[in-house]
This record gives sequence, C-alpha cells and structure tokens, in this order.
Amino acid sequence: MDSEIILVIVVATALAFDFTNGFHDTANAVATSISTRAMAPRVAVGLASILNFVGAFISLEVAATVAEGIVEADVVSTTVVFAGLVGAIAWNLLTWYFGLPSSSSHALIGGVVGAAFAAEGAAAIQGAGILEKVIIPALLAPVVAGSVAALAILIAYRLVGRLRPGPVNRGFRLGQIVSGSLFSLSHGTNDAQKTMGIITLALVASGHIPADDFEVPFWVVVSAATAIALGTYVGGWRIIKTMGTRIIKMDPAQGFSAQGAGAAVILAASQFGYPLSTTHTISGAVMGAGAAKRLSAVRWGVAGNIVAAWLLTLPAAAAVGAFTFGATRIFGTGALGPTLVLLSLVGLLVAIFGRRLVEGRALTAES
Amino acid sequence: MTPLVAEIVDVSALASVIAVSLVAGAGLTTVFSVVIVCATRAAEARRSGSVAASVAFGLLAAIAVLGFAALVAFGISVMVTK
Repeated sequence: MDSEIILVIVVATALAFDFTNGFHDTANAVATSISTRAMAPRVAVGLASILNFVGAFISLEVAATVAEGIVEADVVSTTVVFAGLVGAIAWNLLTWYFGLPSSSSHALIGGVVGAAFAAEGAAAIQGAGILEKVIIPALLAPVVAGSVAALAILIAYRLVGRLRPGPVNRGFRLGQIVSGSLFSLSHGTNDAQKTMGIITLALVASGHIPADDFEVPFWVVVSAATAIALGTYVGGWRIIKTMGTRIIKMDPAQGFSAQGAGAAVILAASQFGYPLSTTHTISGAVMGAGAAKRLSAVRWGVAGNIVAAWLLTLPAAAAVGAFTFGATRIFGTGALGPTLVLLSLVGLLVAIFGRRLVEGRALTAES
Repeated sequence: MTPLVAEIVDVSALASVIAVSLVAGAGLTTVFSVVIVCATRAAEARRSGSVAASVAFGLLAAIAVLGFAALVAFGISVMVTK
C-alpha cells in the first residue's frame, strides 16, 4: 500500500515539475518574438504551448533512469526522485520570482544529487558524470550559442544594412515566427521527456511495468505533454521580461539571429549526444546578438545575475532535495513522510498563489 | 585540456557540435537575409517598372525561401530521428 501511495505522489509531483518547467521556460521560445513584436504576447504563448504539446509526441526515446551516470543507479528510489523533484520545483519557483532564466534540467539533476547524497552519502555521487553532463554543457551552451548568434547577426546586418528598416523588420518578424516555433518544438521534445522518464522509472520501480523491454504508457505521454503545454500557456512573464527586454534591447534581426542560432546549437548538440539546456543556449544567443552590435548594448549586470543563478542551480536544488529527503525520513521509510511533505508544499503554494487565483489574476504575471 | 577532462569529454563530438552549430546557425540567418534582400529588391524593381529585374529577384527570393524551408525541415528531422 505504501509503495502505491508513494507512486501516486511521485507522479503528481513529476507533473507539477513539468508544469513549472513549462512556465519557467516559456521565455526561451517567446521572449524574443514578444519583445520585437513579431507576435502578440498571448498568441506567442499559445503557439509555444501547442508546439510544446506536439513536441512531446515527436520522440519517445525516454531516458531509462533519472540522472543516469550522475548518481549510482541503485540509490535512485521513488523517495529520492520525489525529494529531487521538490528541490527542482523549489528552485524553478524561486528563480521565476526573481525573473531569472535557469535550467530546469540542472535543477532536477541537482535535486536528485542532493537527495541521493542525503540517502547514501558521497559514494552515491559520480563526480565525473556531473562534470560531463552538467558543468561542461553549462559552459559550452552560452559560449557557442553566443558566438553563433554574433556571427549570424553580423552577416545579417551586412546583407540587409542598405535596405529600408521597414521591410527588413517585417521580414525578420515573419522569420521569428518560424524560428520561435522550431525552438518550442525542440523544447517539448526534450523537456517533456524528462517527466516521462521520471514517471516511467517510478512505474518500473513499483513493478507496474516490466524493467526490461518496457514501453512508455500512453497516459504518461499525454499527461506529461499536457502539463508542459499548460505550464507554457500560463507563461512565466517575469522571465519573459528579463529575456526579452532586460538583457538587451532587441531589434527583429537580433531576435531572429538569436533564435536561429539557439535552435541550431541545440539540434546540433542533440545530434552529437550533448543535450544542452535550452535556457543556457538562448540566453547566450541573446547576449551574443547584442554584444556583436555593441558590447555596451548588453546589460552586463543583468547577465551577471543570470550566470550567478546558473552557478547556484545545482547546489541550491541539491540542498532542498537533501533537506526534503531528510524530512521524509523523520517519519520512517513508508508513505507518511512523502505525504506530509507534499501536503505542506501544497499548503505553502496555496498560501502564495491562492490570492491570485481568487482575484482572477494571471498566475505568473509580474504583479 | 587536462588529462581528466580529456578522458571525460568527447573532443571530436564537441568540435563537431561547434562546427555544425556555426554553419547551421549562420547559414539559417544568411539564407533568410537573402530572402529579405531579394524580396525587397523585387518589390522595388516592380514599382520602378523593371519587369526583368523583378522576376530575377523574385526567383532568387523563392530559391532562398526553399533553402530556408529545407534547413527548418532538416532541424525537425533531427528532432524526430534522434
């Protein structure tokens, strides 16, 4: 009975994480399109939401284990996954509150690492895996995307520089609808899979589906796609504002170059087995597109805050994950601990967001 | 690169990521910029009554649109087949 209850809790928490992943990352696809007026905000968010939903069905090559190669596989119990998810959700909400784009994938990895550390100690952590799958991609993504976007915008300015701004801006705004859509689709493909992987892992661990030669149940695919699409539609407006207007003041050519460069880097990396954070990639691309025009065009203070959030993602989510795991263990190894932690979290979120819902305000609007 | 990092990082894959990203990212923007340039020049030629120039730029714009569509389609195929 306890394992059934924990399974339900893990599935619910995974879908909640997927929802926060959606609204936290809405900015990645739509911020540049909104800031250059390529699309109206609600249209941009609606399109991103639909494409995230569709993207979740495109590829079902789900990772068999959460944080594979980063923590020892036999340590990853359903309670560790639950505590890791809580760490990731907490970090997503905190960075959203401060309007800082940060990686949901790294938050999830951090949460699981912290929970695994609390469960089994340092021996449970694979340092080389963290270097390979977290630190190097985190360095690679913004640098490569920034360089590609800088090169792209310099070429674009060279080609269209002598034309009247009106047709050029209209053209790049049209192009942004395509480049933003490509970005949303790739986001749905990559990020909804994390949740599918977590739920599938929990189903395998609880014996509901066989460990070898399993297929992802259709309800898992639909629920993960729906959660990320709903989250995307709610829209993390604080992060959209940071990404769209606070790093640089963007023109449509820069917006297109940033999105095009971001999509190219993510797809190239994915093809060669280097899954990168969409957040790190598009943030780097926006900075690169701005810096190529003029170094002082980038608000380096804002960029510094974003990089600081990236550096803190893993340790902060790990700390919450470890604390959550410890809190569940106060009540033993059964379902009571996770149940009480979940109820406490729901109570906290209702207290924070309840007034917004009662007043009918947008859930993630800035004020 | 230190021996430990070199052991962990697949340097050739990393170099491929950088090279392909540069070509694809800059290529996408270049092709789309050509679309804008040719479409704008075609419209200007049409307004000034130069039919031949308008058709030539229009054709170039259409070819560039096809190139842009091909790059986007390739991107989607990468997503589907990865």
